[in-house]
Amino acid sequence: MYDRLILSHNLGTTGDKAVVYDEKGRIISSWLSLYRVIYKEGNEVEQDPNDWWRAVCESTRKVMRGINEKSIAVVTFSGQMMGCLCLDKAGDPIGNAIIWADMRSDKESKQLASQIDENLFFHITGHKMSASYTLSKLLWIMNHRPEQFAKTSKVVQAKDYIVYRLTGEIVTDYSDASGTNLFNLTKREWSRTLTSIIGISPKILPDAIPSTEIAGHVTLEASIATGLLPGTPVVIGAGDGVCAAIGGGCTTDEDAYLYYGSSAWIGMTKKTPYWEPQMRTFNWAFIQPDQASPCGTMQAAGSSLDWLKDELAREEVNQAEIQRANPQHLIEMLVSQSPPGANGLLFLPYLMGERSPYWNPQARGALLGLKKNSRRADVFRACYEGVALNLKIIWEALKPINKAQQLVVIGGQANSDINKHIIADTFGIPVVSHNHLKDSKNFGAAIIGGMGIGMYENAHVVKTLLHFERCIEPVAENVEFYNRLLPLYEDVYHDLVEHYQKLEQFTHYSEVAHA
Amino acid sequence: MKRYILAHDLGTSGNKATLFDETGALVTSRVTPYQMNVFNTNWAEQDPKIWWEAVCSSSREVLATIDPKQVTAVAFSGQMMGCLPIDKEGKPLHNALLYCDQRSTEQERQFIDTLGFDRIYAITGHRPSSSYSLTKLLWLKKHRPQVYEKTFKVLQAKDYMNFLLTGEYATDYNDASGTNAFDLSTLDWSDEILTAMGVPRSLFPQAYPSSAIIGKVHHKASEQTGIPEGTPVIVGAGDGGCASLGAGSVSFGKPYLYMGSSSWVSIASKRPLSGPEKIGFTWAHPVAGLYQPCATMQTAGGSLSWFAQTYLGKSDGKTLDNVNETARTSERGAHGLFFLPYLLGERSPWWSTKAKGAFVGLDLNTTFADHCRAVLEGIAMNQKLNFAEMLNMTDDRQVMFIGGGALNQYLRQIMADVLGCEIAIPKFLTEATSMGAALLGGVGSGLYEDFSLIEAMNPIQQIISPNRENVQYYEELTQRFAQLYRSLEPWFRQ
Repeated sequence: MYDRLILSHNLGTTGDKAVVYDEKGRIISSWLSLYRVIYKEGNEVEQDPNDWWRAVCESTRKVMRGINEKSIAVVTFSGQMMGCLCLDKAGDPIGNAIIWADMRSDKESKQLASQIDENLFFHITGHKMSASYTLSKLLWIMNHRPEQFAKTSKVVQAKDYIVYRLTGEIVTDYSDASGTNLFNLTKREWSRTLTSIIGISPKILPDAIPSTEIAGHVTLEASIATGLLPGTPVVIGAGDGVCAAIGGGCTTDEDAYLYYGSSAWIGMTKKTPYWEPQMRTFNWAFIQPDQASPCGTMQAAGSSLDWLKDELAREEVNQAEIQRANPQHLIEMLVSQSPPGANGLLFLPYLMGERSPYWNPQARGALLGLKKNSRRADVFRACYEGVALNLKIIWEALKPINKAQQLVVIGGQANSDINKHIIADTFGIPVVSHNHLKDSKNFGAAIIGGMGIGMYENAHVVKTLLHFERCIEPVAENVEFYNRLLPLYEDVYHDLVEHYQKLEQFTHYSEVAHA
Repeated sequence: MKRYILAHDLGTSGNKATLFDETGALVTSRVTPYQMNVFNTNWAEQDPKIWWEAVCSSSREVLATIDPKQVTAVAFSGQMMGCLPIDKEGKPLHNALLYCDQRSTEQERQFIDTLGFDRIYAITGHRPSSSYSLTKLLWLKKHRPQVYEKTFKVLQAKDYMNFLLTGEYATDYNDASGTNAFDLSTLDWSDEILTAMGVPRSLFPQAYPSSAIIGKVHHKASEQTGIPEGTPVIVGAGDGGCASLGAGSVSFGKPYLYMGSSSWVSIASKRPLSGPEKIGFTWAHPVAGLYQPCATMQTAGGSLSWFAQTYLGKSDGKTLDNVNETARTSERGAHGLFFLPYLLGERSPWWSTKAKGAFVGLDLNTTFADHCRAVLEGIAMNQKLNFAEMLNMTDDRQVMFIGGGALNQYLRQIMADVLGCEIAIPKFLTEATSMGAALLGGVGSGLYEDFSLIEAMNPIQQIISPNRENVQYYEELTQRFAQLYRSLEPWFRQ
């Protein structure tokens, strides 16, 4: 029999992962329920919030098999951030949620840029103005779906909607609020300046509360849907960017972590936000009052490697099927056969445009420096190095506030030794991972949930719950090599910016007869 | 009685002897292979003895299939831009330095410093370069003075074979225009260049029209080759010139595209290229009175086979077919993906040894098929840039496509769309140089009435029309392609 268990959900982009932890942070059970990502014309990306809810109900039931619902002391959430879901007066979704990856509102964000000083905006919200965030998505709805906007009573994030379905309470937490481009980061309240500039009532934004606060309790209706006991406390939790920080053990000034999944980010935990002079990085509100989490996120990290596998490494995928092996292992065997620098090849990983460091939705990927004797291994290695080099630029941007002696790497790609070696060598810092690297967001949310019910005193408890692995040390000569390579890598992006701008007219998926 | 022309194609990897009959039909051929001696990274030589042995054995083999008395004339196509010094007795003093020998870069600089890049281009029709004969001779002068002192003549490969057959020293306008020492406008050795560089004019043989008879096979040569004594020998032309004839480019206009591992585009014109960008260069045409502008890219088929090898693990015919089939599932513009085909640097249009290959414009929706399509389009767009100045000289909009690359059905259509021209595919794709030599032999000896016989020798089998709605699209895409290279040019230089 267990008691005082934590049920932690991570509402990701591709599915909801439910994990039940005991007080010591040990995984009792876990379950992933997938849902659809709806890619529409151009760069529109949506999800159906009912899919989220169904997945949460399913994963809750599945993860609770063999566990007495009475032993669940708290339910809590990590959630995808920066989305835009409109709810009507009854609390029902008006259409699909526009999710973080959606870039349809590029025009709106540029239009907004003409209305408010970029620097002032950065200092209010902690973020650059971008189509990635809730604000410009909401402006798009105002411009293009006025009837939908007229019915809108609240605008919420993914986890907020699920918490509402569980408890009947519509709230959000500081961290998710800080990912909307509408929140005053230092005052921890919705920015009156911004709501008045764009002309919306602050009332359509939910009350923002600390991440560790109990938002409400499981209702009877939700109990029937999920199998949870009515009255189970639900702690609001945090955006996945902040949950990952805690899951990465990054709770003090001395820590730094790299989340390396489909996207990747480098984050730190600081007393004050970091106003990076070139606005390449941004800040989340951290769960402790008066702490911020400076962060820089690149769009296509693991996604670039998955793309490589799916489109260019069919041979390895086929081989892996025959050998019943993991295709990534076969790819990485080749990667290790090519030297640092991939014999002169460079890969720019901007397969989804880019956020940090360039904030350019038009950017695209490139593989450069091909020669007659460039081999398959070089192409593969270049992709791995390209992601690491882009992360290095973010690492450099955060350097003035960085006090870390080592870098904790979490996320799916933290399983890859070659990736950790390349990161260690490009960053020039020892790299370490731990036993919760694949459930780090759930784990971080669990700490928040535990704090919410008084199980844990503060977030630092995470350090005693994680088991760190052996450090991977950087190789001095490789570090020096990558330091010399970085300027070349940065230069070629700038050489291509004009090309990216002019590409649009050639990139339509036409219906004209194939040549 | 049956009559034949014996055509030789003296290449860098072997000599091919081919018999053509009086109607121009290809009867039989034999290849005798030999090696290229590459050392010190970029030095490349051949001992002319192996050429002669190959000419003797391949001649004997083809002549064994007929009565040798039926041979009306002998004519050569030959590798160009070389440098073979011989003494008064006609003996080689040194191995021949081949077209790809790059040892004379210091002499190239000297040459440019002395006469100026633009002046040399204006006189010779070519960029000054260590690829050509003159700087190679200057290298011998500096580093092998004992060779240079004894040098009586400097010959091209085929010219030495002609000498061994007839005892006569001669070259033709076309081969001579690949030495960097020949004046294209006077069709004679350039006194301005030779004087400035301190090379006596007497070292170079008299240049003749490519179809001129320069002598007859003498007794000793007849014994060695099996060609009857007294058979007329036509001077012939360089392999680039002969390929033009074989591709049907025998009168004004007549653009064609050759694609093997490398690729060139060419045309028959009334004047040399003179564009300020100097994208291409100009030979004297083997048909008297015409010029042969040309532009060469380094890796065309070479890019395709590299791509197949690197991305699919093999570069055999089946794998290349697979690339084409896969490319069909993409569409024009490859969804914004560009391929720069500069895997060995590039000659035309950029003339940069530093240029490199690239795929630019990847996103998460980019497929392997887009890569395949981008490679084919990249090759085609580079050749569109190379063709531009030439196509401005004529209204002829039918491009003959020859070489192994022309076997690629899918590429034919892409070429048509990108170039905005009809693409014509002749019966023989890889016999152009031999056919060109045969034409010169036949016309020179009077067996063939004129060069238009090529239309019967190598008839067009298929004509591919450009897809009208794609032409304007590729016009713009090619401008973007060129702009993309220019944006990356500073990066390549690092």
